[in-house]
Amino acid sequence: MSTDLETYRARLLLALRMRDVPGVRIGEALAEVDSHVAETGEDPRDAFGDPVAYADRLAGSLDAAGRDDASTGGWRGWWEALRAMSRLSLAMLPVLFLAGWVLGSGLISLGAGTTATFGLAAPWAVLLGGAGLTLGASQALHDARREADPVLDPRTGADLAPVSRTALALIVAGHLAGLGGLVLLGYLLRP
Amino acid sequence: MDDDRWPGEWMRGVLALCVLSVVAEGETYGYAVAQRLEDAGLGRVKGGTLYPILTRLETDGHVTSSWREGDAGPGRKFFSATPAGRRWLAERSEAWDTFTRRAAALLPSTVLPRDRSTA
Repeated sequence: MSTDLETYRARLLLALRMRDVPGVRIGEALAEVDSHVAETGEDPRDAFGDPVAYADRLAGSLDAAGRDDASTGGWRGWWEALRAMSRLSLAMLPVLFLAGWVLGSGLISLGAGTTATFGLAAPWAVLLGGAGLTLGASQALHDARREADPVLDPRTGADLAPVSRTALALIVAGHLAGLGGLVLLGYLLRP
Repeated sequence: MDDDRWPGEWMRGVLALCVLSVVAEGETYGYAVAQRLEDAGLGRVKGGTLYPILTRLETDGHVTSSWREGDAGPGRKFFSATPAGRRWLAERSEAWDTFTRRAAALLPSTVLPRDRSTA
C-alpha cells in the first residue's frame, strides 16, 4: 500500500470517528477508497478530495439513518457514560477507589518500612489493593469491549484501527513507573 | 459549453436518480457506475461524489451491497437495486420527465430563428 493511500485512510478514519460515524460504516468507507484507487490508479486525494471534506459529505449522506445521534460532550457526556455503565461496573467504582487507596498506601509503606492503612502490613496491603484493582479493571475492560465500536474491514473482518503495541507498552510502562514512584516516595519520606 | 461539463446544481438534482438507474440495469460496482455515467455523456463523476450517493441510496433502502473478492487487488463492493428502490426510481423518473418537459417548454428554443441567424 502506498504511503499516500495510508495517510489518506488514516485521516479519513479520524475525521469519520470525530463525526460519530459507526465503526462498520467507517470500515466500508475505507474499503471503498482502497477498491476505487486500486481500480482507477487515481491518487486518493484527486478521486475523493480532502479527507475532512469527504468525511463531512459521507456523514451527511448517513444523516437520514445509521448514524449515532447521541450527543457526547461536557457534563452530558459524563452523565451518558455513567448511564451506559452496567450495575456491576457502578458497584465496582467504590471497590476501585478503595483498592487504589490500599495499594497506594501499601507501596508507600513498603518504601518507608512502616505499617500501611487500616493497620495492614505493607506487603499485604499491596497484595490486597492489587487484587482489588485487577478485579475492578477486568470488569471495566469487559464493559469497554462490549461498548466498543471497532472499525472492521468488511472484506476480511480485520480491525482497521487496532491499539498499537507501542501504545500498549507505553501505557503499561507508565503505570508501572507510577507504582515504582510511590515506593520511592515512601522511601524518601520515611520517618 | 463542453458537452461533458454540466452545472453542479443540475448534477446534484439528478445524479442520485441516474446512479440508481445504472444499478437497476444490473448488479454493478462503483467504478463501473462512474464509467457508465461518463459513457452516457454526464461527464466524469469522482469517487468523492459517487460513494456518498451510493451510501445514501443504501441507507434509504434503495440498494443493497456486498463485497466480493477481485481477481487481483482489494475486492469490489457490488450494488443491486431493491424492489423499493425500483419503485422509487420509476416514480421519480416519471416526475423528472414531467419536470424537464415543463422547463424545456418555458426555455427559449435551441434552434435559432432563421431570419436572425442569416441577418
